[in-house]
Amino acid sequence: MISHTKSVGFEKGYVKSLKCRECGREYPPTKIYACEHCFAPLEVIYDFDSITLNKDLIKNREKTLWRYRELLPINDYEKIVDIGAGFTPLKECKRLAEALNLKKLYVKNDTVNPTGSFKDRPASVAVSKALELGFRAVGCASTGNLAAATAAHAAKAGLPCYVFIPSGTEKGKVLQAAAYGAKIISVKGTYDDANRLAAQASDEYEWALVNINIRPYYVEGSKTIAFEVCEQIGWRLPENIVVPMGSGALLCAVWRALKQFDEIGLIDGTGTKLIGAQPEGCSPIAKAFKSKTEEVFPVEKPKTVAKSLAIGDPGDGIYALRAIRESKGFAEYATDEEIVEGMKLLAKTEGIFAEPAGGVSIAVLKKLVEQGEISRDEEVVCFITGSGFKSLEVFSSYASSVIEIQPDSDHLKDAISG
Amino acid sequence: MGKVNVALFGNLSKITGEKTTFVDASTLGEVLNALVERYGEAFRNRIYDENNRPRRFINIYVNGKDVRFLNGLETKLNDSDKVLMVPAVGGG
Repeated sequence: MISHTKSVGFEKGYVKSLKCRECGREYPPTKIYACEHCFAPLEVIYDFDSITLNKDLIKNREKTLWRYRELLPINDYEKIVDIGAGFTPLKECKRLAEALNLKKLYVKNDTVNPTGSFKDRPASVAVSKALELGFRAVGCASTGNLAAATAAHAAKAGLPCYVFIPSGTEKGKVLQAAAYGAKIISVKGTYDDANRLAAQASDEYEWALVNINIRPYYVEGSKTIAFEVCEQIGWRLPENIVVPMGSGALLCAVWRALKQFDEIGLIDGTGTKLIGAQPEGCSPIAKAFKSKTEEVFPVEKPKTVAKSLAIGDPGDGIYALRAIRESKGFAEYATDEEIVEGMKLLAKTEGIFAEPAGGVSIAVLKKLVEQGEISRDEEVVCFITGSGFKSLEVFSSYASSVIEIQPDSDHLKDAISG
Repeated sequence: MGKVNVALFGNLSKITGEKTTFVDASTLGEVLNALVERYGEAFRNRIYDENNRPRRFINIYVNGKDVRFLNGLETKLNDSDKVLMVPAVGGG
């Protein structure tokens, strides 16, 4: 255990320690990932006093998540693995706002990350950290998006990659990860079964499984989506942020990001309400919120079209619950039908093609506006975290809307008027 | 009462010095008691919190099934059943 002293032996980097989220014990920032006393997760603590980061400095940097590198847990910048993740568009969405009866709505479009999802953010940080810590191979447990993100960054780093996925994972995501050269281990069972096997594997093999045994560093990458929103909206806080929740790690990262930007004086306060969105068929965090409990009871067999959110035993569930309550926000869930409608609405009004997790964000936002929990005058930023190309199965009903004709103008006329 | 195979991962196995062991028990609660008896106070402090409840961040499985979906510490065990104790790690 160490006290509040800056780590020694590094030329750069501002990580002070890893701190237990339950008992508060602190550890040197090495390969440790769970508290040795109570097994609770650890989080990265920064030496904020030595960070000098200002708006001008950030403004002139590369348009990737690494523009905020002082608030990422990397000491050796030579080891950074960058395939261009981050600094994705934040666009005002007037047509969607009108459809949802809101005045001011922005979409943070993370579908345009290099592998098509926000997971490039934590994967970029984690694979960089794996190199820095001297690991010779990386991997992850994944519902699909992280598999591709980790595999792509591993490819760039020249490291072997092992991904553990549940056997029902969408084909596009599996093939994408395989194309980057990863070894795909498809586990017969749920995501939680795959995750447990990966946890056992991290004990047996010298692999950095990014969301398992280097998780404290990994989750830090997701903060950058919130840093960007604050910067893009004019160095201030939005009133509401809608975040899809699987493990709850993204929502926790957003909350930590806002607190850290406040801590170093880049924004004022943390007054954003966090809205956690889950699919009904796997909504342990939203159900805990609605039933006003402190505990998150796991779901044994998740059943939802939003497979990227089908995590029955959410690792950050209780922390996401606390962050939502602390921010005076809400958690809500949407049915599969509402999710698909949400995806279609987003595509048809704003030209953004999202996977079902994006439909979950839209559907939950729609519900909360209808319920009066979010008023028409409130400003909302909605996170769209993964591309529709990854879940083409969901759009298969559109195949029947294709009109095939002979190449002549009479047939064209018939087709258009038909 | 049956001979139950117990596998320990992460820091749990660092305390016990072994990753697998066998205990005679008919419920999961009896397995934990037997392990505490064998490995002592240090092990007890790792698996139980200050209120003597199993710690939230250790997941326990019987034959691959999370005991939260069985009967928790009351879960009945038979000869050759496999108990797995793994620190709960995030995922997602």
